[in-house]
Amino acid sequence: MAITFDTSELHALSADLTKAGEAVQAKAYGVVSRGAVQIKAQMRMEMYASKSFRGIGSSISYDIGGVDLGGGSGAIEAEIGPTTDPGSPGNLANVAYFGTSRGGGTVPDPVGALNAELPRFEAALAKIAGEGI
Amino acid sequence: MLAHITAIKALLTAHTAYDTAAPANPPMPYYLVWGPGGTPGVEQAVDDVRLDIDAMIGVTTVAANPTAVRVAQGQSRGVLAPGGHAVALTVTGRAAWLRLFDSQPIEPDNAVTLPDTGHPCYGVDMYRLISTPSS
Repeated sequence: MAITFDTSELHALSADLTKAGEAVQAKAYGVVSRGAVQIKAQMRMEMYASKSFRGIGSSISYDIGGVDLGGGSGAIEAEIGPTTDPGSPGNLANVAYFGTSRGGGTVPDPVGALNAELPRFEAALAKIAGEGI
Repeated sequence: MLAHITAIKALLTAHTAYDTAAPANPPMPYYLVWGPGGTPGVEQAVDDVRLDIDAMIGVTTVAANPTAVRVAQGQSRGVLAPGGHAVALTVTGRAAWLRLFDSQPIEPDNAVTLPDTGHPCYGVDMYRLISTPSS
């Protein structure tokens, strides 16, 4: 499931963070982790609220990983969403979010959870950037 | 929100557009326009009265085969996202804009079987609706 959102202000900030030390990068990892937890919690809550799809709620999780961008810089990324392994109830998430040929989706789009967390995420990153640069 | 859904449906003239759910045996292709009842915007008004709307709207295009879905989806984007731009909706008393945000892969709906052509296919485009009072 691909979701995009406006990260233009974050790009400038991430450029600054690449110059920061390991201590700042460790704090950034914490910020990404907290953001992922909050987004996961809202997505689970919205799925649990659905009579038809509440069984999918527990399949929503997140993974955090680092990406080597080369040249000594890197990125921290979080992937949040339903697990779609064979047999997982998460395989029905697409129907929950986007519906079928007979009707539209009935569970709020995950971008809502993302947008709800974005101001806190940006503020937290700006704070540690200010402390470390 | 009804006025916004109605405004979107009015733009989709190439094929019939339904609000959220399709009736029994609808002629194909068709569109489903769906979304929340109305999501308040993220900006907090000084008087705490929240009349702005920031919502995701789905437009599902359904047809007998993937090619027909792509053609009908192109027609819907031609009016809802002309040239990739946002489009203004005609809603009385509101300034409302719709922008193409995301698109899901076209896939067959294996839960539905058509008499002659097998399973219908569908594709979902997600639009972001921003609407504020115009006065």
